[in-house]
Amino acid sequence: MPVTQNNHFVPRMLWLLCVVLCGWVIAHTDYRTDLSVFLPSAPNQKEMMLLGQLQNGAASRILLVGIEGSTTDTLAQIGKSFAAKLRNNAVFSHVLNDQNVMDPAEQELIYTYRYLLSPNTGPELFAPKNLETVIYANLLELSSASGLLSKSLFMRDPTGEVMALVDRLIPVQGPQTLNGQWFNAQGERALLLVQLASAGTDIKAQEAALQFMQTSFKDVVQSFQTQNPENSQKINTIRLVVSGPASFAVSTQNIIEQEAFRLAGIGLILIITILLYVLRNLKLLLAGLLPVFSGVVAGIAAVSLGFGSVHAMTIGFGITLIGESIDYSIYFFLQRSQIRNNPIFWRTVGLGVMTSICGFSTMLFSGFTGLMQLATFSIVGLVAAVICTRWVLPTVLPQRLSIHDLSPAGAWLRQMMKKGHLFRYLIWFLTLSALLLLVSRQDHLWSYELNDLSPIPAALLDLDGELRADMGAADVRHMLLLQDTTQEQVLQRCEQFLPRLDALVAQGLLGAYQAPCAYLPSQARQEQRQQALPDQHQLEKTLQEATHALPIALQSLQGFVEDVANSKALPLLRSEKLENSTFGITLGVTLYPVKVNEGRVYHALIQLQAPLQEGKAVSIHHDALQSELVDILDEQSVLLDLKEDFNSIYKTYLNKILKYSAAGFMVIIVLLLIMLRSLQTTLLVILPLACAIIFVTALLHMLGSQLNLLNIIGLLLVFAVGSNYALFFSSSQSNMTLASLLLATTTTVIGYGVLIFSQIPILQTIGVTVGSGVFLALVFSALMAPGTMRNSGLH
Amino acid sequence: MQRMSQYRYWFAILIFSFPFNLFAQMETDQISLNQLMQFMAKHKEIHATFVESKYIKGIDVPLESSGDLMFMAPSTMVRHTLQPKPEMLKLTGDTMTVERMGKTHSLHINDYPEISLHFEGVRALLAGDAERLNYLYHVDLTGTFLDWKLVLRPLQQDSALKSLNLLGSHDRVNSVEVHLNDGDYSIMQVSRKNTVDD
Repeated sequence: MPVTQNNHFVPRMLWLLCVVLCGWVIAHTDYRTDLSVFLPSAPNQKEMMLLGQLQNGAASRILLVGIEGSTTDTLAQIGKSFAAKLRNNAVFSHVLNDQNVMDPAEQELIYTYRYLLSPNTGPELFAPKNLETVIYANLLELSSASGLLSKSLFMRDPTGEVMALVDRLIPVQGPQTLNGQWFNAQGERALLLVQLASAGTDIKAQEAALQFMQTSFKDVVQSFQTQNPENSQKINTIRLVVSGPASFAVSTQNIIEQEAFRLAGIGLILIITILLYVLRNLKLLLAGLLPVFSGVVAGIAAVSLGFGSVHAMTIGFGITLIGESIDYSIYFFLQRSQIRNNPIFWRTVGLGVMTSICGFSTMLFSGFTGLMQLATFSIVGLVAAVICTRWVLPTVLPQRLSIHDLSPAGAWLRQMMKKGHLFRYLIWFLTLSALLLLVSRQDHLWSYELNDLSPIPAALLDLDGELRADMGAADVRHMLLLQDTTQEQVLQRCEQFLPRLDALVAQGLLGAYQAPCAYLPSQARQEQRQQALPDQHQLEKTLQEATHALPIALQSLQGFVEDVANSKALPLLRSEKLENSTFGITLGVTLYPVKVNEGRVYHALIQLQAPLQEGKAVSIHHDALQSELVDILDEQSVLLDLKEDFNSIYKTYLNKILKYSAAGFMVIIVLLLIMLRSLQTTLLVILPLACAIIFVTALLHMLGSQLNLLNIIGLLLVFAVGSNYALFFSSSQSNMTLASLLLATTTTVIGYGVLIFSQIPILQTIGVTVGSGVFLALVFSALMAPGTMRNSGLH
Repeated sequence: MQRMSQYRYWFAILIFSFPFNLFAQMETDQISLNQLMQFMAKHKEIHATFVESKYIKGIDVPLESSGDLMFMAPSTMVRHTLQPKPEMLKLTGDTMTVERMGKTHSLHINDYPEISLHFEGVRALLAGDAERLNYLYHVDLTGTFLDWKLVLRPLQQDSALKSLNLLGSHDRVNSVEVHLNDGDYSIMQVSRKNTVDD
């Protein structure tokens, strides 16, 4: 290809135009940092409801807070002033640190609305015979220790609705209280429960709230120090720990942002250093980075156009993934002198790109938005980079290149290959042992836990588990998730379940449950209860008959008659009324709207607690519950076992990914066959890669990690990237080719290798798999290359 | 010898009469709060049974209940009602726990001054804690060692409790009366069980 001024102009201008266009798209892109990209996109109704609950549920606004590292007295004092400080800020809708004092707002709610809230309200309650029995039973209650204190309540509520509702609506379990402050069982960590006022998806607001918590905590500790200078040594080690979805979101986001910069930075610096050593020229280096730059720009623009927004992680780690594009520049620089005599150079590069695309495509079908973005970014980026290398790079390079002569490195590698050909037997042996190990352990290879794909660092999850246990808030695993078009309808749906659940509690299949419709009955149910209340005249008549046999004068119960009459005319209880009490927290967590396409639907969540046996919670039998409730369960009322259901979603994806990966492997093999036109050469290319993959898999297994979806994707990437090297090995074995391969592998291993140091589990997995896989692929390809094969006469 | 024996006789009388004399004096003398508290402070553990009657306006018959009482120094008091409805009320330190119908409720007495006034007086007396008594009540002790009456009126202004009257003899509390400002009251008869401590 003669290079003239004329054919310089066209590709340069086209390139510039593309960059400007992409730049325009990038400038108008919406950048996101939330964690929703790590959730699978939902394929069916049940899963959609499940994920809606995860993202929109008000549970995402709850934070568990611990203060530790001092004496119980000091912790209690600081805990109380900290809680008081948080209560003064509107960012927090509720701050609880000691629920022993019953919220006065709750007391008033229960008292005022008792006949609308109570499941006992009905015509049968006010039948004379029943009234007599119930009043007598409650009269006996007055003989209890606190009888003198509760007598005035009895006179107004002789059927005991208030106490029954308190038992029903206010959970008794909770952490212990010491000095008026919640503490864990050991008394070494003060506990608080905080609800944020902002929605769970508003990360900025959550970050500000967490920031405010930290500064307030510092203030509180400081003022404690000035007030109690004699105790100042007690608070040297005091610290605040916070857990909960909002805290996960913010810290994971921070970690991702820091790591994306740090790891990509480290990788880039290492790669640039190597390139600079080889190219010995800043101008050449810039030219070498041109394909990478083009790839990144095109990649971001493509993701932006395809997904409507770009996640920070995509940019940060996508650059690592297309570190491969720097290889093209390397091949081009080092083998330029040979390109004209080696017509298959571009074909080899093209084949390499195609195999890489096959690898990344699997991620495109993974169903996880984050991985799909990464795949799009990588595919578009690679194509752009290779186009840039092929048509733009030659136009900016001088005629003669003076680069570091790497032939010695190539010669050294050749030397090593010759010496190392005996190691081929070792490779065969190792691969065979690895294969045997994998076959014998095939039942233990796979992990079916969705948690493996969680972007949340394990340390944070451990802390969360500890705080939950301290708080007595067991991880809710079993629940009924109900969905309907309006709040009223979903509450009615919820009410259907209550008598059935009560029966299950009585049977001992369930310990307890917490349902929104117990706090806020549907308007229809409230009206129905109101209608069942007798009018004043009628009640007086019934009472006369009922109290005939009781030692109570009718006029003592005048307050009861008044209250029933008032309840009959009471405006119905609405959710706004509950907002100012702690019931508001419960209701917010269990009854919430979910956006679906354009409209919104309402979810009601009935949390199911395991039954107790000898004081210990035993597990819930999901299948037994399912069959007990089967007649009232349907598409919009589902019984969930969160752990199982999430894992089954994951299993579906894992199976899908396995299929796509198998297809990916096949396509790569077919591509190789078409390009190489020889079964034998293809086999020689594939063989070292297969060995490397088997070996890495066995290595991962021996290191104790179970394989998950990401490992599969990683292995496919090893195959895709590694096939490039194998192709070059099988096509040419000049010193320059060998040197360029060594260089390219080094940069790739560095690119993926830095991910090993990531705190984000999923990136670490990809880093370990691909980093070690690519390295082994090169070593195996080198040792098993046909040149050395021929020498040993093995085929 | 004769003289000597006479001395001996007087000496013997003196010796024998002294304790009786002293005792007789204690039995009929006014008791002071300090003395009562010293008696009480010797308790390590007390077991007793109780029968209580509540007289409430508007309810024609007294409401009766009965069960066991227990005190363990320094700060644990248990009222275990057996009839007519089982209930366990336990006051330990600052925490009151109520167990009834299979459910346990726990509360901090400082958060519920009205409830604690009904129970703390008894506990402070049994523990011999004069300081606590004076902190919560206006304390009025009348009677003799043999038959004393401790009247505790809450210092808190708006309390529904008018007075907590404790009647006893020596180191034993025989009855506890709760009087409310509205005229309702309860009387609890206490009988000590014989234990090693006695």
